[in-house]
Parts: sequence; structure tokens; C-alpha cells
Amino acid sequence: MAESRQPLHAISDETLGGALRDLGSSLAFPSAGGEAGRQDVAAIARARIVALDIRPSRAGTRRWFGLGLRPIRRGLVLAVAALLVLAAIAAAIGLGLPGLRIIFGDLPSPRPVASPTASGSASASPSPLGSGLGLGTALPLADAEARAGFDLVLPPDPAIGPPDVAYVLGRRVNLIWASGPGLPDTEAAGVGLLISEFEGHVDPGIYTKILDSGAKLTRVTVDGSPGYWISGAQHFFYYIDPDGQSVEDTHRQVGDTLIWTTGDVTYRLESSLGMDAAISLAESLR
Amino acid sequence: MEGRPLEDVELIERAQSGEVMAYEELVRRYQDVAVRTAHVISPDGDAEDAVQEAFVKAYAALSRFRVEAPFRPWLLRIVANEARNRRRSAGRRAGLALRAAEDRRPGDAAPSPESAVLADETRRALLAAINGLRDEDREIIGARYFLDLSEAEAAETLGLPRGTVKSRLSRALVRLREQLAAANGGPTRG
Repeated sequence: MAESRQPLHAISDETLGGALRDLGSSLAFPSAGGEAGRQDVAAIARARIVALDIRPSRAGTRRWFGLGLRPIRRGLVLAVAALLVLAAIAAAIGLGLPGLRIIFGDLPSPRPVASPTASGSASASPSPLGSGLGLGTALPLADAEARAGFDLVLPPDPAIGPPDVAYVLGRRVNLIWASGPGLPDTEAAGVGLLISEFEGHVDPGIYTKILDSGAKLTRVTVDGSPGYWISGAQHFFYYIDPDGQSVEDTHRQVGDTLIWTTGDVTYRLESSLGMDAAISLAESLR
Repeated sequence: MEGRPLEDVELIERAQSGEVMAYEELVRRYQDVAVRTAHVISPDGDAEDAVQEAFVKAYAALSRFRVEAPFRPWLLRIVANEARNRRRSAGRRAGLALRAAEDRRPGDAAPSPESAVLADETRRALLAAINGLRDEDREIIGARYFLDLSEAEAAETLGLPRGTVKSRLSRALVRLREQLAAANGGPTRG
């Protein structure tokens, strides 16, 4: 081609167009996800839509734009600061809970009960404690453990006793204790403690995203295992289950959260106990 | 199991009625071009994050979408706006970059049989000139040549009157030639 020896700025429009198309095919574009057990953007967006209870109605639109975005914008500066802190933590300690994706969000209340993919969630009649939190199906404790496929751990303290209700969602077990002496009320009336236990296996990296600055995240150790204490804001999680599937945990939170991983099992403990008491309780689980 | 993929229109109608899974299937069809669009508009922003946010906002706004209209440019416009918001907060600019695979072939001596394939050095010079352009010039060139959007799609995606695309592209190419000429130490063509 005669023009191919010309300097680039002097080539014809047609050749320049071809060169630009060629350049476009050589550019490094980010991926939309979906490889190696990682959720793609469409799936993450869907999970957020479910968790935020967004509807494609005009009313829903106003609600999203009116209530959903402003707090996010207000919190942006602090969110960026918090993200830098997280990055520093990650660099310093090596990405604590590698199977988890933690997303902080400004979630409206009340929140939806479950993802549309969850099946068999609610029973019709008298609601057991914790129903409506998106925790799954209430089952006897032994059945819940059988469904989980691993040995559940429980607080040995007789003052706390066995859970009042056990829920199963997929293979995740959610255990609820009523509030009472030693277990102050959480944000869910009558609920004093929620412990979730699930097998989550290790993802090559942690994905952390902050949408709102209300959350405070503290890196902690639970009986030698890495964990986080998350307080002050709603957040939700993704983890990789034993089948390699990404799972969104979008249940309604009831309080500050302690989350840690021991072996192949990840635990979440929600309460109004405060960080130190929550860690002590976590370390007592047997 | 469906014998063929659902048409966009059916997925849009189902999504508008609140079927989130239908919406997920719908936007998954466009997530690759959406991420590319966000990256062209804000090369130093988090494209995946921008697209995720845009998909959530688009769902909230879906009732305002007319089913008979093309969905892709409507979605990409929301993505583009989201990416622009991130561009404002981005710090130092590194710009678009070549894939690593391309960088690993320094001075490949064997000429390609395809005349359209540029030598790596030429490609890098072109990329440097693109990265030296102002945002609106990079956007219009990117929309037409990197994303392969039609004029109508580029107009909607970038929020331009349709008749403006051609003239804006033409001006952007002039400025691109100026960048290339400056780098080459010579005058521009014509």
C-alpha cells in the first residue's frame, strides 16, 4: 500500500480509520467479570437491585434517586478515605478473608427478605422469631445441620442455650436467639443474636467496595483466625460456596457484625454486644 | 429450556414488570460493550464499578424506557454518564493502554499479511496521540472506532444531537492529526 509508508498524520481518512479500528482491537479493556467463579457485572447489579429493593416503577425510581443516591454522594469523601484505609489494611496484612466480597451499602429499611433465586423461603403461618429477615426456611436444628453438611458450632454458655430458631438458606445456616439477659435487643425486635455459618471457599482476592461512609471496618482476630468487625452501616456479602458458585447473602442485618473464617467455614455473628463481647462469644463457640 | 434466546423486547417487558432475573439476562448481553464504553470515557476510573452502578440506575429508570427503542444506546448513555462522574474524581491520567500481549512482541520482524495490521511502534504512536486528546475528542473517536457504534448509537451514548456526530468526529480527527504531526515533527495533511 502506497500510503502505508507515509507518516501517520498524512495518511488518508480511510487508512486512518482502519488504523484506529486496529488500535481499538489491541487496547487493554477491563473485563466484565464472570471468569473463575467471579460474578460478572450483571449478576452483581442484580444482587444490589434485590438487596436495595429497587423497582422499575416511577415511584421506585423516585425513591432510588431521592433516598438512595444522596447519602451515597454525601458520604463519598469519607468513603474514599475509608477505601484508602482498607487498601492499607489489605497491603499490610494480606487480604484477610479471601473468600468474601464485602459491599457496604446504604440499604433502605425494611429490606427484602431474600433473593429471587432462593427457593422455599417462607412458611405461611405463625411467624417464628427472625422471619422476614430473609434467613431462609425454619428447620429443626439437627435438620439444619444435616443440610449444612458440616458440624455447626454453638455457644456453650448455658445462659445463652441452644438457638430459638434455625433457618437454612441453600446450605447456609442462620441461627437466631431471642433477646434477653445478656443478649440485648438488636435492630430486629425480639432478636438478640444471629449467627450464620456457611462453607465458603477461598477466592483469589477480596473485592471491597464502599458505597456509603457510615460503615466502620476493623480488622480483628478470632481465636487466631482473621476476621472483621463491621459496624455502623448495612453491608452485604458474596462468597464462593463449595460448588464454586458465587452466593449473595442479602438477608436483613440486625446489628453490628463480626465475620471470620476458620478452615473452610465462615461465620457471621450479629448482635448488639459490642466488639469485645462479640469476639469473646465467637471464641467460645464449640 | 428455551430453544432460542429471548428477544430484548421480551426481556425488557419482563424486567419492567419487576423480573430482576430477566433484567440480569438483558444487561449481560451488553456488559462487555458497557465496560469498554466506561473505559473509553474514563480510562483511569473503575469501569466495572461504573457499569455496575449504571446497571442499577438503569433498572430504576426502566419504566421510562420505550420498549420499541433500541436498548443498547439507552443503556450505554447511562453508563457513559456514570463513567464521566468518575472521571471528575480521577487523579493523574495514564490513559488508554495496549494489551500486554501486544507489548510482548517488540519489533516483530515478520510483516503481517493483513495490510490493516499496524506495526507495534505505529500503534503506540497512535495511542499516544489519542491519549493526548481532550476528553470529548477521545470519546467520539472511541465510540466510532474502538466501540464500533453507529452514528446514531454514538450520538445517544454521548448525549449529542445526531447531526453533530459527524462534524465532531471530523474535528477530533483533525486534532488527532495535529498530535501525530507534532510527535513526528511535521505539518498536518491538508
